[in-house]
Amino acid sequence: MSVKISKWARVRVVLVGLGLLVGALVVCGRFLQLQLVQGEELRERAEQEVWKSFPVQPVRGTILDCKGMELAVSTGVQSVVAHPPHITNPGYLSRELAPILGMEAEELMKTLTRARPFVYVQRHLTPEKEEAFRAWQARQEERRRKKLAGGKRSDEEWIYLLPEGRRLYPQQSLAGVVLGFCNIDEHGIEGLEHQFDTYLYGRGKKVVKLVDAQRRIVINEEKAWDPEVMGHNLVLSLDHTIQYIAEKELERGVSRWQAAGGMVLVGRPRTGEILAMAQYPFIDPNHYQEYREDQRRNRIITDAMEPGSTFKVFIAAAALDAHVVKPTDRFHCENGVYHLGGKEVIHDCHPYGVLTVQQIIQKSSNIGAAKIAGKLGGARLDYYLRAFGFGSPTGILFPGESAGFLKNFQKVRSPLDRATCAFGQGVSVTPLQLWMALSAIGNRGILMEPRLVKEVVDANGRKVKEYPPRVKRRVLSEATASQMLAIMEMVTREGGTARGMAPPGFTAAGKTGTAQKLVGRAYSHNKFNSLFMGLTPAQGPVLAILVIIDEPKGAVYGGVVAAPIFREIAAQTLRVLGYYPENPNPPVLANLSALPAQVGRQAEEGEVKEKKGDAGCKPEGAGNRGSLLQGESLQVEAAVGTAEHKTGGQWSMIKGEMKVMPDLRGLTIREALDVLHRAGLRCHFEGSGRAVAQEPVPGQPLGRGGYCAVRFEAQR
Amino acid sequence: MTMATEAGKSVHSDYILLAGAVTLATLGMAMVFISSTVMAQSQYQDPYFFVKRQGLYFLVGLAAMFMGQGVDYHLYKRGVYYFLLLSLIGLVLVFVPGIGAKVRGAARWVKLGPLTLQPSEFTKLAIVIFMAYSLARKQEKMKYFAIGFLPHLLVAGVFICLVGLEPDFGAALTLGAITFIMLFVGGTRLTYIILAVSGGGFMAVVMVLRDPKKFSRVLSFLDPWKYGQDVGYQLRQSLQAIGSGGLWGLGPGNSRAKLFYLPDAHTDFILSVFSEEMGFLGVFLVMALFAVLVYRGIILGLRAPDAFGSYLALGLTLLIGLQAVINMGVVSGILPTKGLSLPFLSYGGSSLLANLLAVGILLNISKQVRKPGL
Repeated sequence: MSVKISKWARVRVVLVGLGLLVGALVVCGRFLQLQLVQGEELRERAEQEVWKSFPVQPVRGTILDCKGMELAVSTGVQSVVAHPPHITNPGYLSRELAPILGMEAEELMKTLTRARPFVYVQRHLTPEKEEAFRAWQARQEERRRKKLAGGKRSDEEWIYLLPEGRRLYPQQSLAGVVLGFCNIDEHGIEGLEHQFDTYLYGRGKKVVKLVDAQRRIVINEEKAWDPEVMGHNLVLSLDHTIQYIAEKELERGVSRWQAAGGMVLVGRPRTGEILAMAQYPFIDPNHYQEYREDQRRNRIITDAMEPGSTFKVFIAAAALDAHVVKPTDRFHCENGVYHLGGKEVIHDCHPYGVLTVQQIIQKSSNIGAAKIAGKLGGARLDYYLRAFGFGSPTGILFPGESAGFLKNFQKVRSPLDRATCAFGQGVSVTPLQLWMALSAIGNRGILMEPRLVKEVVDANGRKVKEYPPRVKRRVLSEATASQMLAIMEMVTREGGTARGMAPPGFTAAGKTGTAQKLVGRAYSHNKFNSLFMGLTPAQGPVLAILVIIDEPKGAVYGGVVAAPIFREIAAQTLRVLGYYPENPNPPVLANLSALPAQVGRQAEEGEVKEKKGDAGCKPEGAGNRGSLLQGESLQVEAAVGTAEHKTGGQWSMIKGEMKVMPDLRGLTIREALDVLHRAGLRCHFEGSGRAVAQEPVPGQPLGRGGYCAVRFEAQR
Repeated sequence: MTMATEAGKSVHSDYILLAGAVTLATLGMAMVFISSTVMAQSQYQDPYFFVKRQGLYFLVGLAAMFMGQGVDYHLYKRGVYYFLLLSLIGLVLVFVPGIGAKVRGAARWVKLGPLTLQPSEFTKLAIVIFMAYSLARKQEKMKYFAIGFLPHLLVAGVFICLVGLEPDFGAALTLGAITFIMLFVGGTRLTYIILAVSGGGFMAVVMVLRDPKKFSRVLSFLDPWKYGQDVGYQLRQSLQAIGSGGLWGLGPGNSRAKLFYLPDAHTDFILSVFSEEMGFLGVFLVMALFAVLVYRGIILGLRAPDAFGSYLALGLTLLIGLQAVINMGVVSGILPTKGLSLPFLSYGGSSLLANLLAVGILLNISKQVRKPGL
């Protein structure tokens, strides 16, 4: 038994060992081939299988007002989605989830059995439902664990939450009609949301994730905050405070007159910047489905209407600019009934005799305006109205702008058409066009482009696109514009149609309008639009405001219905912008000799100005004016002694040669020195602190190289 | 027998063999950990489910190995028929409902309280002992058909058929191969072996052609990319995993195949996951360790104090080496897919236990080699 194996058996043992060696070498060679020769190719095949690309939802950009207040934002929200082909037991799932999602089981069943690879079960869950769904998922997980179902992906895993973006308008209805709204996929379908959708929407991208064989994500390279997928932000010229003022006053006016609706447009005439754009009834873009189509539309831009008597302003401006009439030229107003040949008759509300051009505007005489238009002639009428921008779109970046309608007055032979046009019948303009034309008068005769969006910035705050104020064209000479302001100021003065409607402490240049609404093809006798458009302060205006009240009841006249709304909005807005009324007392033209008696009051005034500085309301007018100058290269004269100059910003911005003695009161020595240096005046200073008295008095005409003495007092 | 033990006991057992086996088994623990955690977490909510069990068997296996090293291998001669009987009972029990455990349609396990054992793994040991005993006893008579060939074929045939019925074709194939190789070494005429193998091969071809499932398996082996979505899926995943490893590997823990892509990633295809993470260098290390085991085993077969020891050493070496080569061939796609584990490395308690016991027996043989220094 203990005999060793034979020699041949030993040879065979060695043979077996060699056989195993050969096997090992073959296997080793095979691994070499697989890993070193084919390695790259096989790895690529494997990577294709395990790294799957997933879409990353874009994040829509924010819409901000000029102060950085968020008007439209996007937030994350969860939606329930499912993959019906992978669900083996939809009936069970439907019964389970129906109460959680607040849906009918049959309805859910239908969704889960649809022949699609991917379905939305319910979009944009409320937080309560999301929580309930997550709790359900946790329960299912627990149950699965007990069953030990293993590596296979169960039904429950094919219905899950998918993060999406949801548009929210935190200010609710504020500027709703301007912002517009988005559909459920966060694409803008109305308003600025639609116009700037390509900027706002953001760019979705793909992110590769390592998935296991059940398509569960193992490694996720998605970032929580990724500027690459975020859309750009929109910075508007709107100011939420002014927008609020406009909407509040508009609503109050509409309810006061039980009107059908109304519109307000507030902005800066110098730059064409729109500060507030309100339309009543308001819409809340969070619930845009609840509004009719015509309520969702921004009719200030999209709808044209007859401007009524407000149009007389532009006729008069044209006639003045063409030197056809002078402000003091007289027209006979036919005592209220003007037979224009044949059957056509023009009426005035109140019969007037002879009126000057100025009075025609002040009292709003149709007959007078018609006569001015007649004197102007068709060609020039047509030229000026089109120069004001009527009949063509303003080019505002907003969807669906209307061009309005203007007859070709060069070709129209009928004098009646010219005549009715003079008081705003037979033409149609959008409120925006009207406001732009008004602003042109307030902007020394230069028509600007409307500016609703200031700039587009990306998620990191870098500027993507800028929309600076832009000049369209000069419509009127500066002198005409200034004359028109003076004439329009009379409207708010004693004897005007909007008497006392200037904001308290300020002057205003405006024009009332009462337009009969067209019902079918005829003018209605009881449906009117009451209009008021105004610039304030009357000289060097910083605000242009248009108020339209649709179908007021009880009163219809623009001066009664619309003008008080203008006054309220103007008064509040001026304060918001940092403009304060002048001292109600007439300006003190202090002489150095009379100083002792005056010192107290002067100091008080200085204090008031100081407070203004403290409040941080740095008037922006000066800066805007600067950019305007670049566009038109106008020399700004220091309109000394006017409201504009006192309220309108920093002295250092005033360029050019002084023509009259500036008001130095309230300035520091350095500031006063700077101003006087520019004016080319030699000076003598006394004391320190702030200027309290000066010689010569403000407003006195100056020649170059004059002499001036100023007294300074330390503040109390 | 007594002479051998008294006269020339070598002073020490084969430490190289011991070191190789323990290194492989330890590596196996790490590989089971690497490849099974994801699956275990998903299936049992315990990432260490398989590692814990494998660790337990590892400890038991170590004990078995030291026991085997201590027990004189000649004692097995007495128990050889008991071993065969026990194996037979075990192989029958797997079919008994309540005792046998069926996993994925294959009845390969016997439940003993909380433990499950795989009788086929111990059957391999029993057959090897039986063959070694029989070959050593018959020596010169081996060339006779009725004495040297037929009885072995019948005895082994019964066990191979039982294992094949489970079904466990991998184990059946290994058993068959070991039987024939041992017969060949024992001195049976080559003609008989060639005839039997070609006969068995013919039957296998017929079975494969008749059974569409096995036929598709062969097809998938021939072109894993074409059948990569269904029957060739496992092999395709395995090849992708191996290829991804390259020379250096993706690094420990970075395998993608184990994310449910590769079925049996912690058992039969554990080497794919390993080569994906450790690259060709890792595979080479594993092969080198097996080569050490086989080399020491073959040397032992040549130097054993008696014929029984020689045949026993050869059989046990084949048990480890042959199975390893076949498994590597399957994993790398040069042999058709079979359910065959990689000794020491694949998850599986009975296999680890049996293999460590085999090493223990080899160690005991090495202790009895007369010449020092091996």
